[in-house]
Formats: sequence, structure tokens, C-alpha cells
Amino acid sequence: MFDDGEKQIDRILVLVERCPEPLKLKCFEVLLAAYANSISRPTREPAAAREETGAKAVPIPEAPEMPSLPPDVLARFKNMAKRSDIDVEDLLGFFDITGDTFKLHAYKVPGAGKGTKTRNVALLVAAKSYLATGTWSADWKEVKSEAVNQSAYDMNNYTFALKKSEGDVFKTVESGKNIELTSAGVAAAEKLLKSLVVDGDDNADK
Amino acid sequence: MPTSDDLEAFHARLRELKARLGKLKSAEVTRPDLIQDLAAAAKDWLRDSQGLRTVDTIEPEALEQADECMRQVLNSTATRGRASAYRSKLEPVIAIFVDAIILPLIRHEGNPHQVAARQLQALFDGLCTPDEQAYVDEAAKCMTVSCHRASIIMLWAAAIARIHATVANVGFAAFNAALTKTVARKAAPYSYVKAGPISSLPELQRMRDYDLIVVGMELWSYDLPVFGELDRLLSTRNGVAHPGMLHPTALDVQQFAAKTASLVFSKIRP
Repeated sequence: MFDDGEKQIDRILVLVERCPEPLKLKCFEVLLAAYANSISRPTREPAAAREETGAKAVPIPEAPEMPSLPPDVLARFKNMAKRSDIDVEDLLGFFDITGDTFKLHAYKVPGAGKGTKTRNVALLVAAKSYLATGTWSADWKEVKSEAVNQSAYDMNNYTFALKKSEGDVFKTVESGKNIELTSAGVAAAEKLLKSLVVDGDDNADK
Repeated sequence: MPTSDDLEAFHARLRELKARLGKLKSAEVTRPDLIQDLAAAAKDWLRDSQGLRTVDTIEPEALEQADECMRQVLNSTATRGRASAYRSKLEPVIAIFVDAIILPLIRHEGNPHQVAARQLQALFDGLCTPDEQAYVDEAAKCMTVSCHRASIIMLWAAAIARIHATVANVGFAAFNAALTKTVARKAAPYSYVKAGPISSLPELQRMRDYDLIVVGMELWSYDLPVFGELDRLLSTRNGVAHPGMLHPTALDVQQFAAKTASLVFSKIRP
């Protein structure tokens, strides 16, 4: 394992010598840790070497690909996936995080009428907001826009449709203001999201 | 710029005016209150429509058509006009208003960049002074056009504005005392502080941000882990302020904003 250990330590010491005095110890620790990591991690056998020896390739299990997300966001994804008993990969797959914005992938919101659909859209938008910022609240304008996209927007009854769930899943509903979720709302949002992630909209709470 | 809520209310106002005019059939409109309401609606629209021209989801032709009709309404209020003539000018606007103006504006408001910008501003609700809010608003504007590096720089500027204002409030004597205590310590990060005592705002403004957040441990009693988080924020700010390969996303900016709000604006009170 430490075949070239002495040589590597010598190289590390040369590099450490170049550092300012107060940073030398830290630098040594960092470089030593990097070296230790490099020899403890399993490495893939080069394809060319395998071809020469005729050895059969032993598949090394791939670490699951995690998109580049800020640690806090990724932690919220993992926690929500754990609470909802779903795979974090599946949960991540419900959101578009490839570009420079964070949005919901294409989906069909469940609900019998425009009012229920609007309520469900607000729950999903709040869940998305929680994952992005840690706050269970839905942006009024985003909910409206999503409702339009889902053909659930009824200009004359939009506020009324949301007001119907005030005190139940929403704390307060005031035109133009963010819609905060109650604890029942958080549970409803997670249940709805899970139903969409696992089954599409077929078994969602209507 | 008006919101979609404002435009929905305006649409209802136009329909109400049309209904009032309908009661007069084709008679001349002589009631001063109705004429005033028509003129006010026309003026309001002509003012608001200017702000809507920056909305890329609304076709300019729709705005021009609405502008033309409302201009005619306004001109008619200065002459003797019949109710039927007013109605014929309002009807085309009412007919296109929802599909060509309100719904496109709703889509614009729901654009992920716009949403992220509003969420960023919401994080600082009630935490900022007007001076600091100007930086936060500028950061939000940067978010709407995907200028995420610029947004982070503006957020850090807001944080430093808070720190400067708070130092000015406690006074330079108190700050210098905290600085003296800080530099007396030999271990890192205290030993990296290079600043000397100050006696004026320009000297404070020239001070390194790093020195300020180290002295902050003494001055505002936050601990080493909080300093560590602030140091990481400063490092991120420096990373995006210089040419490099760092390309923060909207989510990165939101995390930066959330930490700035909680670590600086909630902990360091002016």
C-alpha cells in the first residue's frame, strides 16, 4: 500500500517548505490527507492493462450520481425523501436542476376541479420553495402562473379557491402575499409530492 | 410596473365602466363622475402600459392596441361623447385584455428567475435598513437576468453595509477596544488581523472585510463556527468577484442569501 510512501512524503515536505510559516502545519495535514485518500480509494483497472493481461473486468459499483446542489438543499432533499419513504433519486428527478434555475419538471396536477387543482399547485410550489430555501411558503405569483400552466386558473375564483383551505393547509391567504403552510399543509404537500413522484398523478389525493 | 393582480382589478374596472355605459344606451354621457372615472381609467392605463413594455411575454401589438383605444377614450372625455361610442372603444380592450395581457404577465411573474428574485427579497423582509435594502434589491434584479455572480457581490455589499453601520453605531472607541483584544490573541484567525485602530468612516471603509468579521467575534459575540460560516461567505464572494471557473446557480445564490440573512442581518443588529 505504501510502496512509494517515502518518496511521496519527501515531495510533500518540499511543498510544505514553500508555504509561509503559520500555514506549514496545515499544509502538511492537507497534503498528507490527500495522499492517504489517494491510496485508500479503490481505483479502476485501466482498460488497456486488462486487454493486455486478458483479465476479466470486475465491475466496480458506481457511486450514485448526485447533481451539484448546495449542501443545505441536498440535505433537505434527503430528509424529505426519507420522511416520505421514497428514493432521493426519484425525488430529485421530479425537479429540473440542470439549468441555472430550479423548477418543477412537467407534471399533471391532480384534482377534480380548478379549485382543488389550484390548492394542489400551491402545495407543490410550497414544497419546491422548502427544498430551495427551507421555507414552507408558496409565492403567490408562482402559484398563479403554475395554475395557468395547469389550466386550473380561474381569474374570478382564484383567491376564493385558496381561501377555502385557509386554516386547514394554509395559515393565511391574502391576495399578493406568500401562502404559508400549516403543519397539516406540510404533511399534505409531502403526500402529494410522493404520489406524483411514485405513481404519477394516478393515485394522488384528489 | 403593475402586477397581474393590479391588471385583474383594472379589467374588472373596465367591465364595470362598460356596464355603467350600457345603462345609458346611446345617450350622451353627461354625468361628471362617469366622465371622470373614464378619464382616470384611461390615464392609469396609459401610465401602466409603459411599465409593461419590458415584459417579454406580452406582444407589443397588444399593448399598442389597448393604448390606442384608451387614448381615444381619454380624448373623448374632453368632448361630448355618446355612451355607445365609449363602449365601442372599451370593448376591444376588454376583449383582448385577459388573453393578450394578463395571462402573459402571469407567465412572466411565474418565470423561475422572477420567482428566485422574489424569494431572495423575502429572506430579508423586515431585516434591512433602506440603505441595505438597496443592495438586496439590486441583487434580486441581478437574479432576474441570471447574473448570479453579480448577485452574490451585491448581497455581500449589503452585509458589509450592515457591519459598517453597526460599527459606526457602537463608536470607533468600542471598535478599537475590540480590535486590540483581538490582535492580542496569538492563535488563528485572530493572528491574521492586520488592521490598526481607526477613527473615521473612510478608515473603516478601507479595512479588509476579513478583519471586520474576525473583530466581529469580540464586538458582537458570535462564536468561531459562525465566523467560519462568514469566512466561507466572504470566500465565495471573493471567488465570484475575480475571473475564474466558478458559476453559481440560482440555488447557490439563494443559499448565500439565506446564510447572509441569518448570520449577518439577524445576529448583527444596528
